[in-house]
Amino acid sequence: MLITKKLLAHLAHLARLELTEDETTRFSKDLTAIVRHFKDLDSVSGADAAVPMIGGGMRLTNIMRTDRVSLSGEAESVDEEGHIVRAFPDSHEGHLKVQKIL
Amino acid sequence: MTIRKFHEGLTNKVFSAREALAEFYKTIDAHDDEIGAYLSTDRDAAHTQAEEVDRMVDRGEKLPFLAGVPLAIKDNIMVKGERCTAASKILDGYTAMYDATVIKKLRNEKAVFLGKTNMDEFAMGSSTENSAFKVTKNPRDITKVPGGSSGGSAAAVAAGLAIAALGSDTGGSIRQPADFCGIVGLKPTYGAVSRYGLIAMASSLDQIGPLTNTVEDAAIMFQAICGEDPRDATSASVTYGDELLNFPIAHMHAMTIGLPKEYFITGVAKEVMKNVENAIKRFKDLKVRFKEISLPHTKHALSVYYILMTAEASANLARFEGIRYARVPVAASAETIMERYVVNRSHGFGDEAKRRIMLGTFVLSSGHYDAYYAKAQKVRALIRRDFDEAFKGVDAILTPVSPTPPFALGEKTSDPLTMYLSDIFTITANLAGLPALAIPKNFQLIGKPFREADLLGLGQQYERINQ
Repeated sequence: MLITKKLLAHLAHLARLELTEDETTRFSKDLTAIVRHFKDLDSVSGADAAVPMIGGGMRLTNIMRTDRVSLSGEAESVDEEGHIVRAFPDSHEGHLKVQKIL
Repeated sequence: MTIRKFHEGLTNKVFSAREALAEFYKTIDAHDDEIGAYLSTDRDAAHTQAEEVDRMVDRGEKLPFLAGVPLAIKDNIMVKGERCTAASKILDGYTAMYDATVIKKLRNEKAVFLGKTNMDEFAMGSSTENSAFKVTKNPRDITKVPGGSSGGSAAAVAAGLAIAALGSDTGGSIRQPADFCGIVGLKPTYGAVSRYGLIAMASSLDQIGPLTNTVEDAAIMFQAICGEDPRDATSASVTYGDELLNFPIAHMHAMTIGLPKEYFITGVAKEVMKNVENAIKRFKDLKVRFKEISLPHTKHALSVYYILMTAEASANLARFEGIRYARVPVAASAETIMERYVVNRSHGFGDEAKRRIMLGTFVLSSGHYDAYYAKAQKVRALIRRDFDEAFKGVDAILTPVSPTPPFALGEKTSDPLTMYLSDIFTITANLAGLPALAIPKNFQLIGKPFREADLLGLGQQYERINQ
């Protein structure tokens, strides 16, 4: 499988990245070599439909807990509740400030 | 200096917590320009913590084992009020607004946090050369890399710039730098330690663990940070008892260690193999039995790892758009919100982060998902099954940590695939979710799920006969 510059441009769009000409050349070479290495999985026998996919290292169980009203985040007191706003790079009177979107 | 010696010194008033802290900062000021282990220090906060410990000493209170112990924390773990960047420009200037669960637990033990350590950006790398801010050098030979991604933490402990440190291990990022710097590193069982407050790389593989001078110190640190946490749904309800520090010798004499033939292959450096064989001899002196085993799917681990890890990383890193957390300066050319995302991310992420985001996007993309991601998940199950089978006949598994000794700075930066191959012996423990302990020189013990005590017990006995 060749990771062509065209495919790379498509992937960059999906990943919300813009690659320079130099990055495109290097990544095309790097990713092709890495994806070629993945070919070894083709030879795995036994990895058929009968083998379940596992999504984590351990066998996990669902964990449900009761909803509980508490202070936001890690605030230690009501006074500290504004810390989420304060941690944001820019704010105005308790509102998060971002650039204009529309 | 070990944790036990520090504890004895503090309890017997040989030194105060503040004196010890000042001494560590003096050493950091004298040597860290050369080593480059730390990204930031918060001296006022550390001083306040040490002061509190000294007050406890004055009042004659019983001190927890970790009281006053100066620790280094990898920069992807949140310490409230301190900088947290994961060594990425996209988080430059971000201050953590809460404590990770492991930090909260260490605070309860009255430990002192010296500062945040350098790492590969978002823990992506095996040499700490992928940091956006600086290069860390190996304290044992400054022309060599310290390993990675927890290279700053490993270098800090090895150079005496901290007594112990926390790192994170997704495919060997605690064990390989510990190995390269000649110290001890423990990757706990997946779920043994809460990941709350750890900046995620690959969520099904990441675990926080200690880097220490001795196995006993690793056991003390692990005991302090392990445990179920309602804030991490994958954390497990397991109680570790006294055996972490007092493993019965009789148990050890009844143990069998497996040697997987797939890990003892040509291509492993002679020096590494000699050290591993030497370790096997010392364990035989301790009346531990050995047995050859097979983990047949080992040869596929690297592919499985680089498919699953990049897939998860590309999803986890999608949240960084340079608007929340820390702000990337707006480029004049970016008019729409989409353009702004693209510009911010393209400026904020380094080469390796971009490479892995692209690769992860590829393996998850329509038309390629079944051939790569789904297939890799199935082979991951087979790798886990190999270990389950092997553990029917052995109590632990011994392998080399890395196929080579530390390599030179800059040696592998231009070829990512060669860099990836240095993870070959460490990634299987992450894929199977198993605990693994790297011990000098050059070997690791892999254990059954939640049997850290077996590894730490064997390790502590090994340490005693080697002193």
